[in-house]
Amino acid sequence: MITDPSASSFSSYSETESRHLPLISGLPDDIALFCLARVPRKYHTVLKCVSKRWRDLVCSEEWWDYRQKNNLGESWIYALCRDKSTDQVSCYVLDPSSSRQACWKSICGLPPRCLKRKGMAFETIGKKLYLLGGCGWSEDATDEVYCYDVAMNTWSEAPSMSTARCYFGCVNMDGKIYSIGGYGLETSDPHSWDTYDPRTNSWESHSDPNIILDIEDSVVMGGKIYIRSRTSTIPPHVYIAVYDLSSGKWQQTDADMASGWLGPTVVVDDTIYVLDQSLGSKLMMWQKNTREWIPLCRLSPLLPRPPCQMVAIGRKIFIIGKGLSAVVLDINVGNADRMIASSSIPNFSCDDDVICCKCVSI
Amino acid sequence: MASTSTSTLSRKLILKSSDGEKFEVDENVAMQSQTIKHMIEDLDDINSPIPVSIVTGTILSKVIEYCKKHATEDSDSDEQLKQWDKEYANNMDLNTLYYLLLAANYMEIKGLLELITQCVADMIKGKSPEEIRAHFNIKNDFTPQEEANIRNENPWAFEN
Repeated sequence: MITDPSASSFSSYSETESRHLPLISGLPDDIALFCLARVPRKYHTVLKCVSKRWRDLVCSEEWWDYRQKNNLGESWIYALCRDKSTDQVSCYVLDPSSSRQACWKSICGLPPRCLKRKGMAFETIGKKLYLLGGCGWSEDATDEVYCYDVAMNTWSEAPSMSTARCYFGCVNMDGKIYSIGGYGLETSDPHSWDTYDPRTNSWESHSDPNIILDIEDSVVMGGKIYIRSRTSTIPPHVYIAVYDLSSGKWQQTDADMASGWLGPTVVVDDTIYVLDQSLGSKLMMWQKNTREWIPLCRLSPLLPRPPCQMVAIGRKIFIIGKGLSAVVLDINVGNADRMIASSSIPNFSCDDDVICCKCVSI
Repeated sequence: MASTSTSTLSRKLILKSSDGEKFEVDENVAMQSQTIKHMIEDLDDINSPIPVSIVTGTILSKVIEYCKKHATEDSDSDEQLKQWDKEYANNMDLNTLYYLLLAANYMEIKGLLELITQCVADMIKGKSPEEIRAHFNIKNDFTPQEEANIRNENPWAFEN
């Protein structure tokens, strides 16, 4: 097993004499933390340059925990993209709160072995982003996992999945990553799924006959994982299976939900929203009690160029399309008319396709 | 405790600083400190001075000034109170802020602790690493190469 280098690479500083200096002279460290943790996230890189102790603090779990517990966490959006011309993946980050023009920034240092892969999954736990599996033209599916520590801004290897996977379902539920189905080695179990627990830093392998190979989308809603197959056109058919954490079982779900799940999804307040781009662009909402899809609004004139992905921060849905152009929808669930206000983030000077978007709060 | 109601509003407490200075304050003023609130619960004789052992008289008087302002709930609007807080914190030098932080932490006065921690955090916003070091008297223990490496990680973090 490969150990998480986030733990080892920084521990070497603990021996140095600078460890014993206070964070701020004149203040106990716990009170210095109360002060420093209130500095907005956009200044954290500057804090890391002040001294070794400040850098270690900003990169620490303690820092992250304190900010989460005291509602100081700020979510930034991470987009995994593919550059059409070079056919390589890249990663960008957006601080959606920035008062000036919000602008995507490139993240460097992606592991070179990932750059050409397709069918990779992109998921997050805490302040870490994971790039999982995938395959290439000349490369079979892989079980490799890479981890990007957002605070440290470093990439490292994480423990491999129990089996090679590409184009698979991947979600975070209750702080664990679930890697589900997908294509892998021919010899492997076609119904397998894995769970990764960051506390044990290891994968656990499972199998269930309701798991399929061909998974296009996966989402967590109300303590359940939903996986959706690719749509077969003739006859039109979508397969959806659902995993209930309390029973530990996968089940095929009813056709009513499958009928409207025709595009990228996002979950806000335990409600699933789908961007339906089949006939013009509509945002659809799944009404749990009546079990039907309800159109919320048409978006055609506003919408970024497809393919689009969606991500939510609070009740704001970000629809992010080609070239990382984005539209922000503010969903006010309490409002009877479901008023949706929108604003947009200007085009970024690239023509990348967006593969997946995630939020990381620090 | 139920005794914080109107009948006890006029009760006076005596707080004694670490350097022996005594302050007579209304009970509802002193009760903003969770630490003092708990001390009173255990106290047999309410008239004996309550020691605030790590806080000097100079700092204690400033703490009391804050507590007095925040004890009278209905006299000011939220906006006025915020403005008062801002001026209160801005009139302190860095050392006084540190002592106030220590006092607010020891006396468990949540509002004051939040006000001063935010005030210190606001001093950092928009400063360069050099300016932060100078302001807080912090030694740069990076080698020039190490510091350059961090800066080069995300050069865009230094754009403003």
